[in-house]
Amino acid sequence: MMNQWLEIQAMSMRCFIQTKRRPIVLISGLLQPFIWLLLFSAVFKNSPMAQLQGAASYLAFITPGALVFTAFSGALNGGVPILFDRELGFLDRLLVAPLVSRFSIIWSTGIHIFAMTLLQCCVILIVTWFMGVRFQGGINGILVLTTALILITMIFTTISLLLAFALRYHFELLAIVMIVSLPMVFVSTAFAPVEFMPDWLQFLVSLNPVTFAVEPIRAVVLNTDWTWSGVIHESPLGAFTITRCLLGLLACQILVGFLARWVIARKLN
Amino acid sequence: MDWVAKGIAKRFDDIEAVSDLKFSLKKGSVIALLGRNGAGKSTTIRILASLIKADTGSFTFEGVDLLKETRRLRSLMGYVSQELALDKALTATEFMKFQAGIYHLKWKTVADQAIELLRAVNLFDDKDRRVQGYSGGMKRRLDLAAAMLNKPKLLILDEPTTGLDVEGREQIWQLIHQYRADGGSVILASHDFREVEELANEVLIMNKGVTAVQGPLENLQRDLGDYVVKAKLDDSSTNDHHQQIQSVLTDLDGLNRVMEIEDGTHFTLRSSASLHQTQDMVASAFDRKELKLMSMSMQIPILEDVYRFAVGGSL
Repeated sequence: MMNQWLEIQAMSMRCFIQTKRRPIVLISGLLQPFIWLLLFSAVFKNSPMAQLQGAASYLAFITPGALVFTAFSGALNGGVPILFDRELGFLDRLLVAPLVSRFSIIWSTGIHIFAMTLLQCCVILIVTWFMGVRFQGGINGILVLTTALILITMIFTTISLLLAFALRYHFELLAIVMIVSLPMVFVSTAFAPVEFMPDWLQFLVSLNPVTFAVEPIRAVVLNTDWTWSGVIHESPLGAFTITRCLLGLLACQILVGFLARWVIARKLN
Repeated sequence: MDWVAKGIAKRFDDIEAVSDLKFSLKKGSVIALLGRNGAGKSTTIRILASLIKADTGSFTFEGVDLLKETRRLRSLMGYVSQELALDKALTATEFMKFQAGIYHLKWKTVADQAIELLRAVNLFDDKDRRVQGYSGGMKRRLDLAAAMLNKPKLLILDEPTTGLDVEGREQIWQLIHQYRADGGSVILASHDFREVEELANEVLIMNKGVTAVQGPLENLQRDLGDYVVKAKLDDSSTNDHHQQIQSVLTDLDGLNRVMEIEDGTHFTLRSSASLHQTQDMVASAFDRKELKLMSMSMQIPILEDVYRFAVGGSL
């Protein structure tokens, strides 16, 4: 156990040092959601407030979307460094070391991505607070927000790492990220209320894990009187509650976790 | 204690990358794998470093088959790959710290040793500079220092001096000599005859996945003969070089091996006479057949000759 901790610590520290020395990745990861926040809140400034789930402004409505988008895009790119390590031969250094488990490579990447996501989300919450968005959900609301962010980060980090081991080159993963990321965000309630969308799109929205993360976060960001079992979103598949959304995310994570374990174990051993 | 490889084989689809490889390596010895690109050196190195699995065969140390006990193998060896597997964002000290972590060594207990290694590879003054600013030689030396941090009993080096200048190569060689003197064993894949002559006491020449020749370098040189002659006929002397040369060679005493390659005919002789006397004897044989030589050189066999005769060409 101690040995595994030593190897995870060494690999995570490497990731943190890289981020410190190359802050552009962290900065661009922060700038992107702010650009979305500024652009979308300007474009949809005159949206009918009645459809914004009780938000005081469109900015307040999309802040949860920006948080999830940040976590999601950071996580989806998480496999890129592993592909670079493989292309540059660095992965061999890890594979010839007497690691207790080669899954330590995965854990260390996950720790780094989650820490970066958490930092970025804190910055977004602080900046949007100065722009008038107030977190209403209380201590339990923070628990919901953190759980949803952890789960969505884990799901897409796992998918990204799975792809990193299944693909050969980093540009293949980048191409997939480029194709997948925007549709995943727009086919969700991250930046627009579901009522704005046609029926067929509403159906897809209700299948998207991004929606499962956005809706609970939005419920706790905007409401003081939220409950675990209160309906927060009506979808063609049924009513979403905070509990159901979080369980849905957990189910997604278990599913992709098993798939990734199978793929990665085959590639690493 | 010996490291013993037996019957190692690996096939990729239709290609037999390595076939029935065997060798043994004593403590403090260096075995060099030589061969063209595609000869099977890298596959062999990657099997022995536990990066790929062999189809058959074993690699034992102290009675344990390390190809089955891969974690034990990994804890016993240090590996330097052909590519510079370094993180350029880190400083040398940070990199050694990283290496310590993945080998489960607590930094507090190995920090002094890591600094000593950096001093030994001449990087002490640059230890807090990022690897990004290092020269090729400095990177190679750091790579080697990192591979030695866990005090490995076996070093597996895949072309460790590729791209280095003379001074850089000699610094790496010095470190390997020191490692050997301390009792470490080395498996070295190289394209560099000079490097192999400098470092190895045993040579294994591979050709198309198969061991062409194998043994201590002196034995391989001795088996070849006392002298190697490289002769090239003047184009004007004859239209049938091959036949003419054969007629000369059949007259020579002590002829051992003959090989025709692009730059002429190479043959080896066993002779107790001096180099000059033997050279005169060969020149006279050509004169007797009235064949004009464009060039002829004669020398005591070196590794390059062993290699040429083993695989029928140059690297």
